[in-house]
Amino acid sequence: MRKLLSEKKLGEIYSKFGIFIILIAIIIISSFASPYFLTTGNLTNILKQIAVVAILALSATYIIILGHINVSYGAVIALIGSFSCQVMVATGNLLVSLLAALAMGAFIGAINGFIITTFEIPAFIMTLATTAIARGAVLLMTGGIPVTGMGESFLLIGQGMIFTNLKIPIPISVLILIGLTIISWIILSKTCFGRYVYAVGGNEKAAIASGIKTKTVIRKAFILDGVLTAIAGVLFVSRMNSGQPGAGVGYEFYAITAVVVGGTSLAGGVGTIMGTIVGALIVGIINNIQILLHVHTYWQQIVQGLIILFAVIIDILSKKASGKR
Amino acid sequence: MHVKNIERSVAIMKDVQCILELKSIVKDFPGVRALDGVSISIRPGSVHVICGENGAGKSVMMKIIDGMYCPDEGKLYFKGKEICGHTINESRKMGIAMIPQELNPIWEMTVAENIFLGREPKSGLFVNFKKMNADANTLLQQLNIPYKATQKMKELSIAGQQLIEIAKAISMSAELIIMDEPTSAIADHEVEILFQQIRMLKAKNVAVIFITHRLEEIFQIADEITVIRDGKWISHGPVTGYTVDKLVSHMVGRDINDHFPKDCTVPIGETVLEVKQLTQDSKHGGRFKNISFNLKKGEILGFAGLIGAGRSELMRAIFGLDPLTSGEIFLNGKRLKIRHPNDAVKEGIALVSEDRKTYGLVLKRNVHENISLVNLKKFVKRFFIDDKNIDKEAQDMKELLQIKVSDFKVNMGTLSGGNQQKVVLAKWIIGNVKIIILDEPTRGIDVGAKAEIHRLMCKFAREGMSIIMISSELPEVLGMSDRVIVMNNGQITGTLARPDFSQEKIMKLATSEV
Repeated sequence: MRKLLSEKKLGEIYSKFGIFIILIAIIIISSFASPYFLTTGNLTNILKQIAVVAILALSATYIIILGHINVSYGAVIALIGSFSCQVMVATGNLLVSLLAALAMGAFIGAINGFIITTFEIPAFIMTLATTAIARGAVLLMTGGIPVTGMGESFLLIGQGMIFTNLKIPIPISVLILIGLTIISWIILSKTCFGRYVYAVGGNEKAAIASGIKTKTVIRKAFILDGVLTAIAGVLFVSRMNSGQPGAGVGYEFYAITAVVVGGTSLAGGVGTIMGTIVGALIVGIINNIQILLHVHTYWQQIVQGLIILFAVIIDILSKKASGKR
Repeated sequence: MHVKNIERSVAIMKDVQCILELKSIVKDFPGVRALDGVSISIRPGSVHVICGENGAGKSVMMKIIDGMYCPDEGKLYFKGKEICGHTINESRKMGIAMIPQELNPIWEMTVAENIFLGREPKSGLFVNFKKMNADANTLLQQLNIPYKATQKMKELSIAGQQLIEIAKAISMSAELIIMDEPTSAIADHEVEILFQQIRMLKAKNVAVIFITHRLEEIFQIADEITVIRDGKWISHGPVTGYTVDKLVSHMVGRDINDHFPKDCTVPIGETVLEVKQLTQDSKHGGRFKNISFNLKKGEILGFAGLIGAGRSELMRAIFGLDPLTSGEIFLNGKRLKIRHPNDAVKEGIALVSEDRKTYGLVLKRNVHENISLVNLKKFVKRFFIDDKNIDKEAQDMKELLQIKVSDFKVNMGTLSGGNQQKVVLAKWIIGNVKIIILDEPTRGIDVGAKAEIHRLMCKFAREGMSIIMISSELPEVLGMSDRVIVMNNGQITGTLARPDFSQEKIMKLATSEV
């Protein structure tokens, strides 16, 4: 009984004060652990490093609140990224290559959403299939050879800086992340579509009985998911300066970890964009401090696994705490 | 009869050893004191009914007894021994059983498997099915329960499942059985089966705590009554010391004169809704056929019948939730094509489902989001949702429907049943509704909230809405309806106008074939 009570408390504290405390604690611990951690150079670096994963996490937030899941991010960013590189090489036009990427993302998302809702296939299985198809398609498209030679303008997206005359220049990728965060927050909390996402994820039957076209909501969410994935994909290849057909492995895992750490429930119906961003920051900082402390990469993977496990356990405990008061 | 009652009360008054005692129990939740110094004594071999409106604290009290909640103050004694901080598992071992409002049996398993779940008789490593079935059959026979051990649980009616729950409790040698609104989901004739069982439990010296909102039942089954209101102890005594009026006034703290106040002065207007030959074939469920009726402006049209007569399925199909094979629906003479509830909502048709938790509300989300869910588009101002406007209209609804909620940001799940039902009503009438279909609108709701919902129905009718009400409670159907349509086995067996109303006629039609 006493043990139960302490578990209960842990969950209560977590659900009340949220993950901000954890974020601050990790920042404090990290700043003691490494003197280099709190330098502007390193902090900018963290933001640059998390940009791709954080955008994927924004996208995954919608899907997970809906009660679905997408496990295809890694393969799809490789596909869309390489595709945008090829278009860039062929046309030399940045805008065309960006639009091509967005269109492809929307198309993949539309197919995911359509098949999931029409045939009532679990999203996990559908996107697992998408993973294999996308990976095969990118290898087919590139012949397994990295795409290069996109030119300077393409690199700006992932590597460029803005406000270079200021004391702290801001990377364009971080600016894109901030912009997408604000847009995602507005869509999720201030539009009908956003409210419907919560309702469908919270209780799909009640949503239908309230006159909501739940299948349309799910389809729209997957299209949005595809578009955001496309942006992440372009950023990803631009940062690497090449379209690598084999790259992006494990990105779905990082994105889902950030979302879950951010307090979004895998059961659906609950979650916030702010939580996801803080979750992405936590995951990013933990990775960063491990690099600064020269933790072996094998260990880093194990830590990554423990983080998501811990986050899910806390999520379940906080649910218990709100259930049994 | 009179002598018997006196004997009964004398027996109660004698100082019988209590099996369970609650002393000055206090339980606080954030912002509310759910229980405020409640004391109760439960005697073996008697049925103790706890009365109170929704939100009075009955469920919290039961959860404290059962070990789900821990009281903040006060003491619990079970068989003279103080218990505190016991878990649900410990309750079972001590001999406390709880039959919850909503049963969760394992549908695909047999009766015997459900009874002995988690404590199956074994021979070696394997379950001894032979012994299990034999034990279960003996038990069922002892208790006079008309089911076999090998029947699948899903074949049983809800009342049947409750009997199995009771058998399970007995097989675990429970000495105190808590029944939380066991009759709310079963038909009148099934209630009697349950009551016979309860009388048998009394004979075995088992104590029963019984919660119900059906007042007439209390006088059939109770030995003792305790009334609580707003978390406070109000009164206690043998059932012979109470009358319906006294009980109601104790529960609500005021007198309710008329239980079903249909305002007959509302003029009945033109036909608004007309359905012709609605049929659902067996491929889609086959729950009704050849249904034709009409609904007029300002009318309350009652649908009576036994549970399973197809009334809910018919309404769900009209609303677009269930498939319709053939037939036509006309609204103000215009033919409607309803394929999805969205089509019905657009035409101003609302359905308040009997299953509030599944079809009525998103319990994980707050009141604010739930109340605006149906008419969200109405609150969009320049692309974005105007939350202030939602709160303003929610406030109007709160006052109109007297919803007890401190803050619209609280989760739906924390509200009592009556208040949840009011939020469901509010989310519809916040928009422009012409026809409102109410499926068991007052099931599991206390007398106070019930009278309020009836009052609201009259108000809606007066404002020109048309109402279809499905109800399995005959007094409600007779009291509230302008006309009653009776269904049996998926078909309409008769229509009664108000002057022809009688319980006997309805019951006869409800059991007759077309």
